[in-house]
Amino acid sequence: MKQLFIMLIAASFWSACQQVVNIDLPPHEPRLVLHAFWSQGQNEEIWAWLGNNISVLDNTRLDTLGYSPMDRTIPYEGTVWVNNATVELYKDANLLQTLRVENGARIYTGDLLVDDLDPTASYELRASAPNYPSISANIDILALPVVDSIIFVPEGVSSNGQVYDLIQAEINDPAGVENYYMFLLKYTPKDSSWGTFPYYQYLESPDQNAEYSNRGLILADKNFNGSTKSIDLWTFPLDTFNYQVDLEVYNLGKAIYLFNRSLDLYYEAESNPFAEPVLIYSNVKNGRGIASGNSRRVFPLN
Amino acid sequence: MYKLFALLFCWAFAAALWAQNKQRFTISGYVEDSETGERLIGVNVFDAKSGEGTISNTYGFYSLTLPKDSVYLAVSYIGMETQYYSLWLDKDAEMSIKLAPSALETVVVTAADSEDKIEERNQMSQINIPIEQIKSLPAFLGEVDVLKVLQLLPGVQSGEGTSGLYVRGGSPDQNLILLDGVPVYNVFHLFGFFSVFNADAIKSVQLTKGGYPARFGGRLSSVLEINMKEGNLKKWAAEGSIGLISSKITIEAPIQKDKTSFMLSARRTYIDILTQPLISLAARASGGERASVGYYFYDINAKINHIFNPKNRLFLSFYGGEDKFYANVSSRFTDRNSNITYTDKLRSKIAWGNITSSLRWNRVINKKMFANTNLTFSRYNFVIGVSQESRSNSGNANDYVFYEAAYRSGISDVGAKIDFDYIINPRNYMRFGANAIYHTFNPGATVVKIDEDGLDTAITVGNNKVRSGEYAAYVENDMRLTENIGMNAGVHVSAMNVNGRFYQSVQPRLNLRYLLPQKVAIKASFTTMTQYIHLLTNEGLGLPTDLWVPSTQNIAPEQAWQAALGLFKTVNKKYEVSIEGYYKKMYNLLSYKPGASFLDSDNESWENKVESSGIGWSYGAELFVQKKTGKFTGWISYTLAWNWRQFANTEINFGRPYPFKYDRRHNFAITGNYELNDRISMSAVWVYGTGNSITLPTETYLSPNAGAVDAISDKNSFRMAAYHRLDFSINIKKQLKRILSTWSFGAYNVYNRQNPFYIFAANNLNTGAREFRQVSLFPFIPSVRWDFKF
Repeated sequence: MKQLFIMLIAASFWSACQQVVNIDLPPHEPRLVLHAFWSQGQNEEIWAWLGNNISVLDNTRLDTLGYSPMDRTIPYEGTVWVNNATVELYKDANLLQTLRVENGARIYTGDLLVDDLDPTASYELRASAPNYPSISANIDILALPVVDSIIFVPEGVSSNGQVYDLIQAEINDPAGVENYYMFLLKYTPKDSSWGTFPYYQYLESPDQNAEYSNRGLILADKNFNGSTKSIDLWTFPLDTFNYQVDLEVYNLGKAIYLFNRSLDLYYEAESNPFAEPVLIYSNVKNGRGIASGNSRRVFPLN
Repeated sequence: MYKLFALLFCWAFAAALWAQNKQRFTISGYVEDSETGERLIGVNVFDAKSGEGTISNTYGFYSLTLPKDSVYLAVSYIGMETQYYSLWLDKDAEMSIKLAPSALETVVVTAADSEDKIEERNQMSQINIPIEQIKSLPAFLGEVDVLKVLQLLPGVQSGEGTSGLYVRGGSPDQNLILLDGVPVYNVFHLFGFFSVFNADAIKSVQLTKGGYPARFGGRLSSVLEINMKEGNLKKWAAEGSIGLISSKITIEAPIQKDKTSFMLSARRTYIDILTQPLISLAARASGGERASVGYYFYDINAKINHIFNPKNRLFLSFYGGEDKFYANVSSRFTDRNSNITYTDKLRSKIAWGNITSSLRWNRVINKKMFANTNLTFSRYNFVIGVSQESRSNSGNANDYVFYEAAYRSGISDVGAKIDFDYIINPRNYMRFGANAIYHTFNPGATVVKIDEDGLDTAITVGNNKVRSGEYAAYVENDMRLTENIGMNAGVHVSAMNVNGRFYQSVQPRLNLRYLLPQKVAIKASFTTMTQYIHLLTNEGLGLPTDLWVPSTQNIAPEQAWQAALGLFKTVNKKYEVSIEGYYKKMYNLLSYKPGASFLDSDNESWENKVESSGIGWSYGAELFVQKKTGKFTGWISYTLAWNWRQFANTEINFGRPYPFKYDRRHNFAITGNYELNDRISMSAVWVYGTGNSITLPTETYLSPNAGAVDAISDKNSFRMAAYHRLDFSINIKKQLKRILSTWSFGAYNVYNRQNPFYIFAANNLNTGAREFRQVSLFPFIPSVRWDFKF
């Protein structure tokens, strides 16, 4: 129906004509683009990807690269990767470590593990490179989510009368921190006849404050900050025979939440000519991108 | 503020009563057109001896109280011969006044010395455009459009291809558009290219942009009053036109002479009818299918009025209109082996339309008091639907399968109002009244129907209907305190209850006028307004999908205040000149969240898609020079304006202020109509406006998930190219035996300016180069129209 409507609108503009116009764009300002999301609980080292923006009129087609800048396994030869930068991590305003980039690698890494960072301390990533303004970003280190209990009820009945597998999670939220919980249900095939890659199953909740993103079901702590919260999660009956099924519970900072949300909205709006324009969130001073922490705990359900 | 206001009001009222200690008598009655019996609005009834005067109200009623003395009345109205009456006033008198059209051609309107002058009216920020003047201007595709003419006025912003009015920084939903006193919710045909108002059926048009009198309420930015013709009480009359895209006809006649009359007007486009044979041929040639694809809109205006006696009159008026896009395809196939015939029908449509009706009772209670009671109904519906029906004669259970999905939204109102005009004396014109509206909102629901294998099911997904009551009461007094000082003061009290929540608002209104030497009036106004219903719209597109929703527990009513100051003068008895400055602040504005629109596929409540904490502020200055009379009529308007929005602590521009889409710094319009002789007139319009603000990407970078992001820095931070165009038309009249025939030849966008509609970034298909592309809608478009009148 949506396509039909858009087609009819387009048809109504049959008389419209197009022409190339010069827009008085301000001179392009080269900026560094920083992506660094550090996840506690995954035994990973600190890292950062550093690229640069290009003018919207630049002919480089970034969208045809076909792989993520986050994918460390593929050498990147594009024009938007900056590998001659100085990237430093500061703790409470003191230099803690300088991140390095190996030849051919696309990610700056440090020796420290994210798990070794102190959630109560203040961390800042700074980067500078020739021909770009220096950038900095505060990076929240989030403690592992405190999950008091996970109860799995196979073939439970939801409040709307449907039969679902029911997962009840009880979270103990720390006071004074604005954070978000994200729930994902991960299916990992037990043998290769069911595929080789894990995938994520749809989750639903009757909780009115639950938010559905492209990444998972999200719950903001604004209504239960500093207290215990119980949430029901519904999913289609689990195939625990052929798959390893895990519930992943993330603790997200506000910055990564806003960034992901704006990115989701951006891609949704791309196919809808009537959607309001979307600004991509960034917490990088003088630059673009996002630097944020999160933490994850995994709960096997079978 | 409220205490000061009450004090002023009481003082003025007491002073006025004190002034009438001399023996006085009242002349009252109706003013009407002698040829049609149509009641005339805003007629100046003026006693040259005492210097006192009054104006006939919206229903043609006047009342003038004067001292016992000889009276020399001059009754004047634009386009009519001024009538003079000399009488000795020693008792109350009822006098029906009949004005004859000016001996000059109808379009050449004349004015009398005694006519109501702009510097003598307390009201500011209000413009009347004679309907004949509207009809004489060039029209897009020859289709006369009231709203498009209003866009040429100062303080009114507009865009290419839309009939939406953006008045002093407000948005289109903030305009109270009343057709015979009934709110019309969607005033657009064809996505805003035309308005729903058929000029042939309209008697008067008045736009109030600020200094709102207390009798108006419920919207923040403007009040547009459109009154339909009542119907000729004297004789049969008809007029109509045949144009490029539509034709229309209006018939009015007495049912019982001088007692009962009717007016019926209809308009329809015929693009669908003209193109259908080609579409059918193409469909058959391509596969034997039957197809019908098309678009049309129509309007029907009807009115009956009946005079019971000089004190009681009843009106029943109706408007109905609809737009419809449709695409229907059907096919039929017979399997020769089994001899089973299969038929398949696919239907899709987008349709929207309004229905309004009112039952109005005018009652002259006494020589000084007039009452208007109005029962109203208004409904706006939008539907987008697709259905598929398959049949066969196989004898199986699944011979018949039917699927249908339809998204519907809309609003309907049932209302009652009563208004009193109490004309205490020539220096005090008091109005008071109350109204109640029962709204039913349908903020978008999708109904899926399936009839398959004998199983007939229907599922409704979406927002539930919301019902609410909106109530208002007001009192205002238009006063002349001294020879040089006038004031219109009043208060509008309103409330709304919705889902157990009760909102209320007290809105003071004040217009002050001081007549300086050289007959220059300085006027000031301060008004507050509250709006309980909101329109969810994607900025400025004017789509029929726009949703009307109520204030709720979480969404507060929109509020605004506006202050204005201006100078007003009539120059050489011909030119009305005004300069006004204004500042308006708006609160609790709504906007879709970034990325949201009505087309979202999720089943989210509309409340979750919007931010409602917006504030807006606009300010500017307006110049208006209008010439309503003589062989040459027209106006010059210029607006210098700023218009801002901010949704603090939200994702909309991350809380930063941004220019509203229709933040246009300069707007200029010049219109002119010149009667060359009795047969030929020419008219032209030239408009110029700063380009609309627009959101554009400036840079690209890689997002973490392999996609490129065209990033925008700030919302609406760029300007499209300036908008300007010249329209021209020439009208050639010829009086045939019984018919007045007029051929109108026009040209829209004479010098083929490619005005921007929207701009987007794209890759050139040939070179691969990134570039900005501008879409322009209307190039040079000639038009021809034949009007007839008899």
